[in-house]
Amino acid sequence: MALLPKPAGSIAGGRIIYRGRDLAHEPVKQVRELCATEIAMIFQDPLSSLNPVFSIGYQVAEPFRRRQGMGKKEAWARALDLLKHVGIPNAEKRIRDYPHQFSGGQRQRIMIAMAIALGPRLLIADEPTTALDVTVQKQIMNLLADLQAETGMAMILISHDLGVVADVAERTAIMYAGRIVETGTIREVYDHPAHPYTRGLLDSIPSTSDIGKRLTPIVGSPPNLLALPAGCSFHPRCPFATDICRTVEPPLRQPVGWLPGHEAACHRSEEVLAHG
Amino acid sequence: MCVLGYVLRRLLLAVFVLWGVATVVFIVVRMVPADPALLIAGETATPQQLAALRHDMGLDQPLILQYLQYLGKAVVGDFGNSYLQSVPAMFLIGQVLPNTALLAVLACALALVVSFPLGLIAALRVNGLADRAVTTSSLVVQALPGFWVGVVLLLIFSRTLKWLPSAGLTNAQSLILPAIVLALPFIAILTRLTRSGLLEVVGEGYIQTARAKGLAERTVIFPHAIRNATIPIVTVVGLEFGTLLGGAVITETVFSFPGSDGCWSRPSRPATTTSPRPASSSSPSPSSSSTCSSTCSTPTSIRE
Amino acid sequence: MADTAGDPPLLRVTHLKVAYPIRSSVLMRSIGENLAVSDVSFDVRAGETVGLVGESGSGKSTIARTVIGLVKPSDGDIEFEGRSISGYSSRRMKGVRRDMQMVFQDPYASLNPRLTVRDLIAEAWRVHRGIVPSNRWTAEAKELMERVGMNPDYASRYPHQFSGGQRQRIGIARALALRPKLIICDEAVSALDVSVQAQVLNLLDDLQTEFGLAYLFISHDLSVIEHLCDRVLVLNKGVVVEQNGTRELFEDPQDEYTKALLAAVPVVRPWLDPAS
Ligand SMILES: Nc1ncnc2c1ncn2[C@@H]1O[C@H](COP(=O)(O)OP(=O)(O)O)[C@@H](O)[C@H]1O
Ligand code: SF4
Ligand SMILES: [Mg+2]
Repeated sequence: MALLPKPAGSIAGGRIIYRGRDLAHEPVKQVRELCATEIAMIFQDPLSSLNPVFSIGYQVAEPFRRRQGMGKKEAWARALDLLKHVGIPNAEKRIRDYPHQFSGGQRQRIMIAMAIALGPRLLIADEPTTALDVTVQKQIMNLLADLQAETGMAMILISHDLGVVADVAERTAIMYAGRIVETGTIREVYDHPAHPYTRGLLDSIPSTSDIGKRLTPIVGSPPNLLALPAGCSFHPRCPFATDICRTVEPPLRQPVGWLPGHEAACHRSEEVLAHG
Repeated sequence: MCVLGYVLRRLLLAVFVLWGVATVVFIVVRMVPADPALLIAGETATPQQLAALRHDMGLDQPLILQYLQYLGKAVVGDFGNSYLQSVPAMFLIGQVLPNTALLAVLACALALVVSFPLGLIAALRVNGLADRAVTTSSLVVQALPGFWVGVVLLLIFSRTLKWLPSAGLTNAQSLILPAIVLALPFIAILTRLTRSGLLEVVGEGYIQTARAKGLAERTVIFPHAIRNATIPIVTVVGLEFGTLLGGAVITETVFSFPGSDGCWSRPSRPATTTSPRPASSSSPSPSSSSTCSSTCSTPTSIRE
Repeated sequence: MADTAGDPPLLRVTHLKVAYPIRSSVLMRSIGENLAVSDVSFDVRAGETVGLVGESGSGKSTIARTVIGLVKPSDGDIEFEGRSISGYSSRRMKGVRRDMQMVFQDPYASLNPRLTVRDLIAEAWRVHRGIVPSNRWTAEAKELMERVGMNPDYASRYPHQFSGGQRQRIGIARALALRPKLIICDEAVSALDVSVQAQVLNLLDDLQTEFGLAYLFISHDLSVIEHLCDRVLVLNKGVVVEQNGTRELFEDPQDEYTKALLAAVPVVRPWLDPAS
């Protein structure tokens, strides 16, 4: 969404294709025009993502006013509808309140209202529930799922919690050290992990079936991104590693004999799958 | 309701602060070895004259009684007579404070008007040429002593170019140079504050949100970033205004301006340096010192 | 939980009530109080793990801080090995702290950045004289490092040179230095990556078997609690709404709040869950 902080980060290569346009090579200004109308985003920490010195009504009405040139009255009326829609209780009264007067879950609802205001086709949710309690997390995920069913927008859900993703998403991409190491439908990937990292993650999660038993963690710790190991960056922690892993970086590929659409970046996916 | 309660609480707190300041002033004045009676009567006075004077001034009473009397009078706005001029202190201050305040307010306004765009430009082009120019010159300006800048500006604009008057308060024009001199270090501080405040705010999550809403970069800065960045600026302006009043006195000296500075410059006596008043530093300090005590303690070294 | 054996439990908390004063901004006079914990009772027996779950603000950390003597209870009693410690002076509390240690959530903030790992561990021996002679400090510290799965050659490194999981191991080694009988873990694994979290959970498990430690384990993560604890207390707004053996509580929750909490936990493979 061209939100990278300017001097610190820039796109070093690659393409971002959105409806046939390569956003990575378009000027920031053009990309920003797509923001909110085509692509919208919500963030991990709803408190710091809302401006503390403007009322929530102002902030939710802003896309209508600045992007669609709507008058203040009309924009605020639309904002009120949105706030009701995302489940802010007593929205008529609370529309003039400031972000700090709301609970964490309500703030995330406000963020969502703002994001869907202009009917985007794609919503990117970056750890939308990480800062919230489980019960609130559930409500927010349900809200997102409902909104998606209603509007038909696509959603990219970013999370460190495999469980949160499982309920809502159809497909998943697992990332390790800055790369996608495995993609496929949630069921395929979770039931038949083809990359040792995915497998390690799934085994690390305490679950009802292994109560009282020892967990099987991934050995070692995540790598320093400034000094990634050569070859497959997972090799120092990988129980399947062989010589080729230390020198050749594995490309994403479909493991021989498995369903199309399921890909992993591992030289030995077939062995990994055979073990599961 | 909430705001009113807050104001009341602050005012209550201010009473305690004033009491504390008054007490400290009293203690400091009593601790200074100089004897006010001796100062007024002169070295040649007889012991009888001194004793009489001390009795007049109430200096022969027990310390605690003096303190209570002093407090009692201060509460009703009677700060006694000036030890130097035998005129009520309040009268002296009332005569000259408005001019000093006018100068300070003017300087403050000037500083705000100039520093804000400078800080904004610097922040929008971080590490660019404009940014480096603004940051460096603000450091240089802040390091220059105010009285020196005053003299230099006088030489240029009054003596050489003859554009502006050099002394006194005759018309609006005579305010220009003093206000500029007073404002310069303040401009430097505020510029850097605006710059750093904006840079900090721009890194916040809600600015990212504003961009994600597809707002034009202009709208992201005005009003989103600006409104947050002004919070520390308002705070510092409030705190620094006291310092500005203090600084005004020095500037007035350079420009022979009839402000508070006049309080202490008329009687020409050698003993001013031991005048029993708390000293304050002549350079702008970030603390908000009590305006009166800092105003009244003109560093005489500059004048003589 | 009746004490059948007759000897007192390691830790007994009875009718604990903790209120934080709300102070006026003028004179710092107390103008009311915020009841963080009201009427909480539970026992921890030697070698046992008791879990404390609840959403943020439910009072979990307050209970931990009160037990270890950092916060004074407003009412109720805390007994350690049969002695009432809630009225102890800080000097007498020092003696109790030998047997009762704490591991915090944030392994970054809770370790003094200016001390080496060896010094961090030896600090406890400096405070509690006569446990380990000073010429043995380095050797003992290295032994403890080895015990928590760290390379003892790193004894002279500083905390910032380690990853989050490693730092949490340092925190645990430090807590173990005095051979305590009870360790209070306040969200000790919450900031860690799942794969690393599993390593630390295994470590805690091993240490319990080896030293007969008891844990008071605080977490908002129900799957971790379910994995590690023998008994669980569910806390809601400072009140224990339910307490039971872990298996019983997870299989047959009685309280409505517990039910809601359990239902909200995301399931990694929802398609395997018979309920949904
Ligand atoms: N130092 C403190 N001063 C005042 N109130 C506090 C303090 N610490 C916690 N509280 C309040 O006590 C309640 C319980 O907090 P806490 O024990 O930290 O909960 P938890 O650890 O379960 O998230 C909350 O309402 C919180 O705001
Ligand atoms: S490529 Fe090798 S090291 Fe990398 S994940 Fe596969 S088996 Fe492991
Ligand atoms: Mg806590």
